[in-house]
Amino acid sequence: MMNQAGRAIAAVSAINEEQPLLAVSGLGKRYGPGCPACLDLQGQRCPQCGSLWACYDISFDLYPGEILGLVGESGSGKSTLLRCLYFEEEATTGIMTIPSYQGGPANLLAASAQQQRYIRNHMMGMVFQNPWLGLRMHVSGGGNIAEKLLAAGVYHVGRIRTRAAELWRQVEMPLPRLDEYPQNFSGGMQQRVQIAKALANKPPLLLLDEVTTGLDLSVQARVLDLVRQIQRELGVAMLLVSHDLAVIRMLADRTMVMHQGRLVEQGLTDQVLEDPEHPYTQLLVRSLL
Amino acid sequence: MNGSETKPVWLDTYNFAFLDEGSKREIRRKTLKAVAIPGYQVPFASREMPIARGWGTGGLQLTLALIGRGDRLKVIDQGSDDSVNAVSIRRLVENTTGIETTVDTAAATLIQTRHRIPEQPLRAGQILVLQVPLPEPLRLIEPREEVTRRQHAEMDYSAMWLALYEDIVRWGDITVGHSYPCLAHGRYLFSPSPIPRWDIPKLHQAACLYLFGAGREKRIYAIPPYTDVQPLSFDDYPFAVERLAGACCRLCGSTSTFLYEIDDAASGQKLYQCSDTAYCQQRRQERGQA
Amino acid sequence: MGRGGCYKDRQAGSHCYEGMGIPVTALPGGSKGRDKKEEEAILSLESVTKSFHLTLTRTIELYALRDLSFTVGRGEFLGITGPSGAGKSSLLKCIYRTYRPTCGHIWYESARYGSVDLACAPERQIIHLRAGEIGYVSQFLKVIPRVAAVDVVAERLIPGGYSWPEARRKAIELLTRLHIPPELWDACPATFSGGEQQRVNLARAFITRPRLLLLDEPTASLDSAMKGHVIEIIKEIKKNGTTMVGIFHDREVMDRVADNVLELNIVKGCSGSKAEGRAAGREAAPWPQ
Repeated sequence: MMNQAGRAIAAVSAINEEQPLLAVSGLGKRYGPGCPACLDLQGQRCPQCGSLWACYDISFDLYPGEILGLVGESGSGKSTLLRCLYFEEEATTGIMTIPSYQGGPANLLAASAQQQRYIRNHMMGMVFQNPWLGLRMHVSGGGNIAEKLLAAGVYHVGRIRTRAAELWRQVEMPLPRLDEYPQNFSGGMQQRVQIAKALANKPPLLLLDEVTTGLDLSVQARVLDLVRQIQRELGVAMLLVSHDLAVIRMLADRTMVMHQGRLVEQGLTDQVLEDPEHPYTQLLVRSLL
Repeated sequence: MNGSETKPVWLDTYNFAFLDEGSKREIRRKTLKAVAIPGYQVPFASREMPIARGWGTGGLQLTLALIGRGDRLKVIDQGSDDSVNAVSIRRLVENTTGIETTVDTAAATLIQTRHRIPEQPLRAGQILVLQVPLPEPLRLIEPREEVTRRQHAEMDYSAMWLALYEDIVRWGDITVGHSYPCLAHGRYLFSPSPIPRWDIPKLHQAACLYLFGAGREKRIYAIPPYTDVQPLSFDDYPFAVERLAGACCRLCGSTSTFLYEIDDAASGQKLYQCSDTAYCQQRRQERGQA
Repeated sequence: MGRGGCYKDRQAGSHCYEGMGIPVTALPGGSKGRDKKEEEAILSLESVTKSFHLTLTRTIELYALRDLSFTVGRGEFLGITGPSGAGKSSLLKCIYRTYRPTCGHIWYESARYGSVDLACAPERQIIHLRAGEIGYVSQFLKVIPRVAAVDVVAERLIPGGYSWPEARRKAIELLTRLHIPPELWDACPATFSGGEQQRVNLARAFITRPRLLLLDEPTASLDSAMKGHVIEIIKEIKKNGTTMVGIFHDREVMDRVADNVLELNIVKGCSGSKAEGRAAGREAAPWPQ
């Protein structure tokens, strides 16, 4: 009989085969100056210095091609975390690495603005809950996609338009409307354009922030189908933020639960939903199912 | 000219070249910095001038800070030496320095200009001072100075490229007629001031020094001699200068200069004329002698 | 020892029994006769306990399984019976890791990873095992609406490297064998009758030819003719070497497929087994609090 230690070693070496696409450890975001008393206050403003930790000590790995769900009530810090990962906000603490980028070990949260912009343009795409944050409303739909391609150094109008049309088809938008302004589009279409824009440079990672919130049920369903199809066909890894457990159940392989700025639970999606361990997760699951 | 006969009282009243020496020194320092970083907009303490802001105060301050007793000045406004603005500025410099001015491009050591670069190629040692209304090429796309500064710092010019792309999608070609955005030595995006596209190639690898002064916006920038200047252009939409097919100057017959379109009220015809009056006149003189 | 401590121990990769000073190899009960069968065992449970720590209204500790040990040999079909509430489904969910066992080990001999403790293996490993080695047929089909039956089945093959046309061909083959009429192939299973849904559910699990298949009342909603088809397929899969653990309400069906039967009783231990003592258990000792 193989002894315990041997089994443990076998298990460890087997997981080591797989390298995460994105590794985050100890990420924190504080608004305000901060003081030693702040950390004990979960999700509340510090009475001494007025600071607020919107995220604290967030650690997780995201693997190539998987959909990682992130649930939590509004104000739990989900969007702040995503904005930190997309360098929209400057994280206060923590390390974020992309092992496949320039050998990997560098902490990208501390990288130069140019490097961060390179990663945003080549390795990540983000879809915002509010399309006004993700799209330039006074630039044509095709132009929105072009912006990403131009940032990646494609200075050829013909090639830009070919790629934009390809993406347009991929997100099932009507081609004749490629040069229209996104402000003329419906909410569901705006999300499609955001997805097309996010995919422009074929990034291995998409950050999706409540992509279906505020859409009609039928439109919501079709956007989710699109997300699933993209994940299946392009093998893009996704960090999917939602407060809708049905969306998480449908799409995510693994799920993390955020509460008052901290990750309180992470696990396989079915396990988190059917066998929640943290009191908050139990409340969340019972509230919504 | 006739400065020596009716010597204006100003020559004794004001410091040489109107500005005090401290101001000149500051402007020269900023100019040196601008020369050192081609295309980079250097902030400077723009002074109140005896002409209104927006009428060439930036160019005038550069001219006055740089001019010496041995210089010969030429002032042009949209190619013309005789427009009111050109004449006023020329007089101001004459009256406060007593130096000679000229209309001859080749004879001038210092040329202040608005919206044109002379047709005659400039030589090493000459300085062309351009008056700039809007020094920030990104301003029309991005109103926030904080953002445009960051974009310059990070060399993130995708917004500018995007504007040009949208132009092509909407109008079939880039419609930017003047102030065409250019890259200085592969680094800073700069506005060449509202010169026509025709003049853009003259900036590239030129023998002379180009200085740009924006009085209202308080910025100085420069294209030093032998600097690469590349207008932004797509691989499949190359940069091109204006061409008027079959048109020639009605006065000198030139087909190789930047021409103005004039409607002849009498005949109802369209006529063309050199924008650079000095160059046109010179050509006519040469042809008359021949 | 509190439950929270147990959870932490597991995360650190150790096991609560070690903390209690009881060596795993000296476990009473199920160890009898295991040594000679060890080589063949593909699944071996050691003192598995599952309790739910509910905090919603007031803190409640619910036990679903207590100190359960048994082994399943390679290629064996282990049937599980017992009154409802005896923890039959919980047992399958623990093996599938939808539930995280509170204590104990679930050793599974994986083709890819060697010996793996399903009770504490990394989630990514579980995801890979679920995609390639361990199948699960739930009581009810839970699928994404709007996806055609053929794709519901075919998509299980995609992670294994099949192309979509090839996967669909195999899916149709299997659906035909399960007597799903062709006109339903492109319809969404949500609109199907209970029996049809259950057959799609079976097809989803069968198509990957898993090494270990967990069946939770797979024939409950089928008429007797259809039961016959399903049993035939189960037997065929078994012949191909798949090990199965199945819950059957219908004793007659179970007798036709099961090699051994494990009977769980309502006191949440398990009380011996029908055949040869291969799946031996014992009355549970009270859990130390």
